Amino acid sequence: MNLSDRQLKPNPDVIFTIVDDEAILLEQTTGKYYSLNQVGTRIWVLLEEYGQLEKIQELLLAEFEVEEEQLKEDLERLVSKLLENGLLT
Amino acid sequence: MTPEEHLLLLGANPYPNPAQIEQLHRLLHAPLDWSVIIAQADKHGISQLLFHTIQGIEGATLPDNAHHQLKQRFDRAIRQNLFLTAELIRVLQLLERAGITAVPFKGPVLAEQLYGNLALRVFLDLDILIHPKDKEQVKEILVRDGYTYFFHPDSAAQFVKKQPQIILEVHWEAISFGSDWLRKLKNKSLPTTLPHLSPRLRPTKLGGKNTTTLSPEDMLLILTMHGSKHWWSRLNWLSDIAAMLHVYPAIDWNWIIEQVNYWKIRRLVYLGLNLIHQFLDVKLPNLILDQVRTEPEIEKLSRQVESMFFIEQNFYTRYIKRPAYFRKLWDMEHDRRILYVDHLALYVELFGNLFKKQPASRK
Repeated sequence: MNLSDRQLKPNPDVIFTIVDDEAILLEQTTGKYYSLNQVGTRIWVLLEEYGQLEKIQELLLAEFEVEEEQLKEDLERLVSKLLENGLLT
Repeated sequence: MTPEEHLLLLGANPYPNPAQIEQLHRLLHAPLDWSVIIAQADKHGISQLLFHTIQGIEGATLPDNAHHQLKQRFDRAIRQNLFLTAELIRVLQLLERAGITAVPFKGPVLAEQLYGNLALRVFLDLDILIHPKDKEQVKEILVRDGYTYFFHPDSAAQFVKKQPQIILEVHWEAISFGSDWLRKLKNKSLPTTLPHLSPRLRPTKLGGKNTTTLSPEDMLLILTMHGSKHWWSRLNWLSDIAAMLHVYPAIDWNWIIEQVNYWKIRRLVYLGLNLIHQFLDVKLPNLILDQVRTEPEIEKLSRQVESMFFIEQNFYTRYIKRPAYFRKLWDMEHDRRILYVDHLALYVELFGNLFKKQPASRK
């Protein structure tokens, strides 16, 4: 299934806090900590709220000055990493 | 006041005003003993807050060593607080599955509510409030979960897990009257059991999860009483009150005044408010300033607290100043007399011990 068709949501075992636009995440089952930069944090918050890449892409395009193709590529790369580390389901 | 102490008081306000930021900026250019500042900031639980405030001031810099030490504390606090918050959420879910209502308060909830994240407020233990009828069942569940139970005769039970250490305090009353002096006055104080507080519970977020906690008004009463009870010996308790007034500007002051008058806890509550006004430069509504002015003892109590902010406790402070402070805290003459008799008994015991023959040591 294509990533953009999937309904994504944060793994319930992940808790996080946002400090100065930077999210710090703790995956409780592994005890591993992760941090996201400002854009990554915005994406994390939107994933929590909407869970659909298409919607998130639309919102980010309105917020940041970025080419659509570039954004799509970056977004998919981050989401793949979050999935790979078990931070999203 | 030394420049170091001035800086600490400025750094204790989580939402400093422009004049305070300007003073901080100026102080940072003065010669400062950072070993004193960091030791006191640790003692007062404001190292993370101080670091964060200074980092946010344009053009402000810290000496390399101080920066390194404070940054280390800041990063450690985030990890530690996330870890403890995860445990708190797990315990809440564990109790919820058993049909027990448990409300988190203080610690991580205050960090999120008042400071916006889990980095700026240190907490060493986790606090939950349960219905008094659930005490035994909660104990069973937590012991089965691996916690060790420590008996607490008063209003809360302490549970501990080791490696890594977690201290969980299960309260059936949100305010603990742990010392013998105060326990006698407990029944005269504000009721803080879950049945009393639950009609005003509010939804909140904890580590990104939904939960409920106490209303800002209840929390304000509990925090001010808690701070007064502990002689406001840590500046971070004042930071919490200052943050509360900033985050909840629509606090229902009329309700607060009503409660404070009804339960005769004017001094206990208004002392904390007067302290943030005088030492953290937080504006109070005129309504409250008028109330504070009607209690002249609050000014004296504030001076006593101020004199103790940055000094180590000794015999004189512990046995002379502290009891006198506690007596003054109570609104009613009758209550002050109860404590006075208790304190006389304490002195008799102390003197008795001084003249008691020590058993000869074995050779």
